[in-house]
Amino acid sequence: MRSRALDALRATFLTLLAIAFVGVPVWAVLVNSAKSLAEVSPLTLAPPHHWNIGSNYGAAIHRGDLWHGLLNSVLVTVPTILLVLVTSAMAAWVFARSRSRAVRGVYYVSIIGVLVPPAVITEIKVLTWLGLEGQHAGLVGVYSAMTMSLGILLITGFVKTLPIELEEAARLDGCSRFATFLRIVLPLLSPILTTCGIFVAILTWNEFFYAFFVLEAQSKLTLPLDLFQFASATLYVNNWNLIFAFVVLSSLPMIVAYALAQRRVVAGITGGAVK
Amino acid sequence: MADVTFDNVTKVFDESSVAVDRLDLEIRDREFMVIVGPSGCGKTTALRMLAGLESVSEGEIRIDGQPVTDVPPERRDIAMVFQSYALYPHMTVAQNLGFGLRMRHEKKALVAERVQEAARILGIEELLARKPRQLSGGQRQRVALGRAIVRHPRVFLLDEPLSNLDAELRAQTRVELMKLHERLNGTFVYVTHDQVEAMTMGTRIAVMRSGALQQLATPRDIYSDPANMYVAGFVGSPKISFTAGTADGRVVTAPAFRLVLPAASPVRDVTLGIRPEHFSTAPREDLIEVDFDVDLVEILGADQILYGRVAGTPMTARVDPSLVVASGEKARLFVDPQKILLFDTKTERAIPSR
Repeated sequence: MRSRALDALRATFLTLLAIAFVGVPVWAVLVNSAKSLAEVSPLTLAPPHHWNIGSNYGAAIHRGDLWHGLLNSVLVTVPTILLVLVTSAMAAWVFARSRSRAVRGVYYVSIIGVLVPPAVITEIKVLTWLGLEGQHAGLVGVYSAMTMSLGILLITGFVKTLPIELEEAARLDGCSRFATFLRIVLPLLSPILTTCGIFVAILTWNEFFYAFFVLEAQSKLTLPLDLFQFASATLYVNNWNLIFAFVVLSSLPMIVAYALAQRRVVAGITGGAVK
Repeated sequence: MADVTFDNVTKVFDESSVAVDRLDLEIRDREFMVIVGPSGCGKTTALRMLAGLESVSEGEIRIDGQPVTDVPPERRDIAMVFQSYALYPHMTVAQNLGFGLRMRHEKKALVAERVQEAARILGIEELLARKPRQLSGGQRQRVALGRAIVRHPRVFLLDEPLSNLDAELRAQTRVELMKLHERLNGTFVYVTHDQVEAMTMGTRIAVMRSGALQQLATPRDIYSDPANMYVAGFVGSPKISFTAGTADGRVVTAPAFRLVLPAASPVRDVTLGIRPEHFSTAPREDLIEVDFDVDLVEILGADQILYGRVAGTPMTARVDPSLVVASGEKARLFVDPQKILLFDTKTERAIPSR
């Protein structure tokens, strides 16, 4: 009985905490994005008298050049996700299965990025050498490098939970090493690949700092930079309603992606493989 | 089909622990070879070396006379049934069965035909569309067997395939495996720690211990003519009883026992091995009479097992249930001296006594 009361208390506490830290800001953004310019300036939590959804969001899309930013963000995020997932999965499989000490050493070096932050100046320098500064490809490189450690860490842990007999059975069934990876390991990794994909997507989609340093040309700016420009340009008239509308719109793709991917993370996909 | 040769094969893990020690083993074409021994005796390692899943530290493995030591597993044309079944969880039963053939780029029609054939043999036709997680343990086991037989491989390897089944299903599958062996007419190499499986299924049995082959013989010979005390103790249930004795020329004496050998024993310190069924209740001129101090009686119906001591040495006897005896009492039992096994105490090897 006591533990149940404690559980209820804990649940209530966490719910209140979530409302305070997540609910309130989200609410603030949503209601203020629909207010008129006159109504928005005090930035209250009260709902608008009239919901100016069409006009505000339309203006945000039009004046903020949102379609362009969206395209640029997709052009950076999608290749980053693919690159990180493919390379991390391959590396993680080797790291999880190898018995060699040298490989273990390489593994530790590979995941050090989870702890150690990247150095912006050297990264820009490397991009310059490669002729990729100011390019989407350069930013993809930076983001991949930043998130690959996390990918390798998560996927290696997951591979270790997969029964190795499956791979041995595949070898005896006539698969080469690479075919074993492609036909047996990769399909079984789909839950963790989905999780990793979401992580990488969120980290890159909302990334501002490196994009700010790497990208210069107006035509290449990603959504966070677009928002920054838009907000800086309109701030003097306190156009919070449009800024918030832009924020909502630029977050939508991530929310949709998350909702869709969520369903694909099937727990226990390996059920029935062994025993 | 094929024969398999282990030629002086050694496997060393981590530069120190010897898993398989100079194994010489000839597996004949179409034989049901059972490699048996306790866990850690090297039997599974030997099988995995044959499969190509473990490297060979020294020696050579040949299939049909061809060395395969350096051939990767996918090119050895061997199928293996894993203890854990290792079914591909993301494929249906039909896809699991056909996977090996598809990987070998067989024609679709042939794959479908072989899958159907295997499913029919194993009685799993109605399961073909299911995923492994929707199957019971026994059904998974069948699919694992099916995956091996669709390929028509040169050699079938089975690594304790029955250990995850309940007792009833295990006995049933044992019979089916033997029928399958007859039907497929293939070379089977079967690894188990269960002496009953070994005795009932094997054409020949290889008993292993600490990486070394102890004896290779038919089940009958393994039982009646064990090469050493270890093999004698490993097969047979209840276990054989041992008692120490001394040989003086042709005469062997031990507490309560005295036998005369047809030829002089080469060593002085000997150990006598008496199987439980070598005790009987019926007196006969040529039998040795012993006083059996009964500690425990187990009545099994057709016979009864007496656990107790003869002249202080622990022994087990399997006798007719008509003998009424209780724990704490003495029973008069008779042992046929012709059947007593004799071992050199120091080397534990059998002494050919008759």
